[in-house]
Amino acid sequence: MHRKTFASPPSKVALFVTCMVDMMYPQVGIATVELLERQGVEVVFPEGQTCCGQPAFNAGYHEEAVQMATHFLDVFCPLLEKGDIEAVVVPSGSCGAMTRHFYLSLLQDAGIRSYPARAEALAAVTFELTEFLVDVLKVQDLPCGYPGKVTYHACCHLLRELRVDRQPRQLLRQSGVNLVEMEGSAECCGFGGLFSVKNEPISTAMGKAKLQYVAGSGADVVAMCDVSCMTHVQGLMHRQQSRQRAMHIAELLNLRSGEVHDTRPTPSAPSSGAPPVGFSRRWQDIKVEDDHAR
Amino acid sequence: MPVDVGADFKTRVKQAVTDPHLAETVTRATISLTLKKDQRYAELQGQRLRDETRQMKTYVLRHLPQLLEQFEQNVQMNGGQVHWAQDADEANRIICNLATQKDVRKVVKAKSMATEEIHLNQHLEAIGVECVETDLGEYIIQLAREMPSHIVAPVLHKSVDDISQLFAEKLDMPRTLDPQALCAKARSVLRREFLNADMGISGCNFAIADTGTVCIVTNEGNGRLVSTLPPIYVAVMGIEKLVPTVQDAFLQYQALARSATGQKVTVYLSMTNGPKQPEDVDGPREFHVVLLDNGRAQMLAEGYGEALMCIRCGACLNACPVYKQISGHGYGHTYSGPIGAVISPLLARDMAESKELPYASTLCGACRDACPVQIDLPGLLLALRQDLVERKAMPRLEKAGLRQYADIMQKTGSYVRMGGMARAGSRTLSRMSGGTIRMLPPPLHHWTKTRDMPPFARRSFRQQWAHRNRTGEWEKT
Amino acid sequence: MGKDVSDARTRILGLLRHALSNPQLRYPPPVAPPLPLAGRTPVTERSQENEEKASRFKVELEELHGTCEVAANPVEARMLAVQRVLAWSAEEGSLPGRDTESVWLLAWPEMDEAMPGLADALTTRGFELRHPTDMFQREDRSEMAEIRIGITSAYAAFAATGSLLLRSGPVHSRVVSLLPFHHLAVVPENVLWLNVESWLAHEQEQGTLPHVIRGCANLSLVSGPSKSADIESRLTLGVHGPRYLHVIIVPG
Repeated sequence: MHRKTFASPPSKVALFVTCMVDMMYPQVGIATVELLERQGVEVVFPEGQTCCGQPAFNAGYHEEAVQMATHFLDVFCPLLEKGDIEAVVVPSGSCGAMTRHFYLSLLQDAGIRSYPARAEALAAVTFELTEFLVDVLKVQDLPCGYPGKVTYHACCHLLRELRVDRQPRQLLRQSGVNLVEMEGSAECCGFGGLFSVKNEPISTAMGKAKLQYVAGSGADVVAMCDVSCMTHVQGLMHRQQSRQRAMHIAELLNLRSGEVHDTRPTPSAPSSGAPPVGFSRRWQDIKVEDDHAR
Repeated sequence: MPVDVGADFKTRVKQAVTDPHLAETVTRATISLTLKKDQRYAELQGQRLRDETRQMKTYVLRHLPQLLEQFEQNVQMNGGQVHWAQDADEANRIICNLATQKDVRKVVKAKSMATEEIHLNQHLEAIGVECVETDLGEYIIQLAREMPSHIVAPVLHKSVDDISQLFAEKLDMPRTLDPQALCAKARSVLRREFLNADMGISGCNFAIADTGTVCIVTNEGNGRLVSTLPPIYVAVMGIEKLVPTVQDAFLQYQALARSATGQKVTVYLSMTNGPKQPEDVDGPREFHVVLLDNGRAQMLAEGYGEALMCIRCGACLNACPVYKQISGHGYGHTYSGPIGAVISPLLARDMAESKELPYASTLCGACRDACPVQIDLPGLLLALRQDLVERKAMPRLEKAGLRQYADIMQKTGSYVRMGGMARAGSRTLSRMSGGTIRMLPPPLHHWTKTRDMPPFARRSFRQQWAHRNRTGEWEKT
Repeated sequence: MGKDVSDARTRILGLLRHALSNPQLRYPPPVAPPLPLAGRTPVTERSQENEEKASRFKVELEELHGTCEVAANPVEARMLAVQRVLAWSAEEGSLPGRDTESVWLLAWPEMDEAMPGLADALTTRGFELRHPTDMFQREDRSEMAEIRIGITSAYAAFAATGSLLLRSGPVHSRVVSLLPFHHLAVVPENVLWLNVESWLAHEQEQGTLPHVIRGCANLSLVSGPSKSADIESRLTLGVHGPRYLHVIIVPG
């Protein structure tokens, strides 16, 4: 697959925020924007975007997936073609894999003229967030003020479709957080899109295995690059009143020192059993308040 | 309670995930196999070996008819006989006829997935021929009247305690937790069977077209005994098992030994060209090869040819997180794991009969990374799903739901409206249970059986973005 | 259904050819070159050049739970072989005594050529070297099956994997290396190769490969004693084949 290399870092990018972040986790979108803007990148948000169509595609409904794919390309491609943006950044490995890998074969099979070529052109400049920060912007230092222990879960599509793994790990290492390794970090959490509902018992069993790995690592937070897997993992943790929690990497990296100010345990004062980031009942809204209070 | 492979998919899965030890036993075994495999690939240029194996197998697939003809001719020149079977019935008939003609009473078998696939034992037993499985694992499975749960390690789902109990019941052996003692017992029982068998039957790990050689790979030596002691030796092989040359055979042998069990070499590689030569003092007097199609040519025609490059090493099973939870029996078919989820529906007369299998995967891709031939298993699963949808095998409601979803997502306005409705609905639901959704209506109730769900955000990202565009700062929520 | 056998052949080949003639076929691609013989990944070599093959063989075989001795000369080799047989017999509790009947050993009839004087040396210690004459005769079969020690040579051996290549033939009975509990293999150093690849390349170059492979009913590559990990992935030895494999490498 052709990937564009940039002579100088792109100054203007389009945010493909993904429907789940848009509707359920706006704070992840905000963190993504802020991380990019802190690097001097101008972010535009194409408001026509909806869902990339992966749920339909993965379930075998190609006709429906094509509808969504063409809509997506109609929203993003003109910006690229007119030179309004230089790249597309997405805070998700899964949606990134859909638009970057699967669109091409989907649209080729569907035989819709011009769309495969557009998909290819867009794919060449589409980057997952951590990949963009590390490989394109060459970010060296992104200090994070989170005091607890963090481990990293490699989401499957990011790892095995986009082959992005070094980048998020590097960002976490450089951020200064207390990073601990987790056994089975590359093993699927069991989300799998519709799989999580169609095959709930297997999905749950896989998720519980993942929770054991997280617990075994001693981490307070398991960071990952997809809110979909995060919803599954955190959903299980929340139901089980686990003291760990799952977090999107953008949100974690965007927590700057000084912003975390409460009675949470710090690495020097080890855990009393209380979750390190406030155990809000509305767990997806955690710390948005803090961010905005500054 | 063991998983009842005859039950429907849902029941099998339920039995598997509620078994207190199954996932743990399977996980431990598969992780250890994966680690050994990775070490074996790390000590050489692993990626090159995988590339070369793939190129060789791709060549085989492209030239399969010619290679089959060449192989047939060479086996005949070596003094063996070749039989072609288009389906399981034909294969069983060929072997049963042979057994009847030669007055065969007892058959000893080496591990063979192809004969499992056609349920050969049942057919032979129906005509009064006793079949004895001689691979230690297969023997245990046969005593327990179960099905193998793994392509390479058939009793991977059983603990030593299970096996000890089985041997106590069936073989009158005092209880012991020493695998070596259990193994010695099996040796003495099975040795008698080898010496008294009238026919040996094995599968085939690969066969060399150039020389007409059938190769079987074992660690126990039962493959050698089966192909040496009885007067008649029959090898049953899928038509995709060919390799062009002797060198290619050793290439595949490397890939197989390293991927299947993390060995550089297995203890035995037994290469049979034909029956014993006139002056030989041992070896079978007759050598038969049954070439089994049973849906494979059709698989190629329907675009699933890549699955025919499988060398049956089981690495994809060992890498699969779904397999770890439901074990081979959860799949309910001869072939389990990711490769089983692909080929079981294709080997069946109607793929819709096992339509759950292609969906029993998160498409995580661990199988493709583990495969020594780099078969795109997630891609094949996706293709099967597409096929099932196009054949209208999936529930009408699902189709309607996704149709509506696509319609909504195709227009920004309807997407935003739907989002608003979902926000209102989900926030009502969450208020009922303290801010987090603990119960969702069908079909999403499957989610909330074990997982909580956050409501949609009060203000979506796009609303907050618009707010910032207007005011210069994010909305305070 | 009444399909006859030739019909199945025609149908299968027809279906395959038809499938492969479809230019839109998803897999395999229209052009699929064979993997060239030259330049394949060396799969069993180590980095050192001119590695000492005998010592490498020993290391590899021992990793596979076999045992190996490298003799300094043919006389020592014979002595090692006799000692090994005596040790195994003692373990089995069947050491021949002065007044007892001789103890049978299973051996290839050519063993005396592979290791001159071996038969004599063993006979004077009360052993008798037997070999099957027709395994389909009930007597031969049951007699041979009771013998606990088998002695063979090897057609070739490969250091990098600790493997023996046994080629069946009139004087190379297959059961000798298969039925007994103990297998003693005498390997002349001149059939020891670094690895399978170098041997294959040599036979290929000489044009002898097809005959070596096809000129016999069966070839077996043997690497270590019989084993299984079927029970809870735990190692068990001597499942069906020999529990002990001992190799004596005899210099030139």
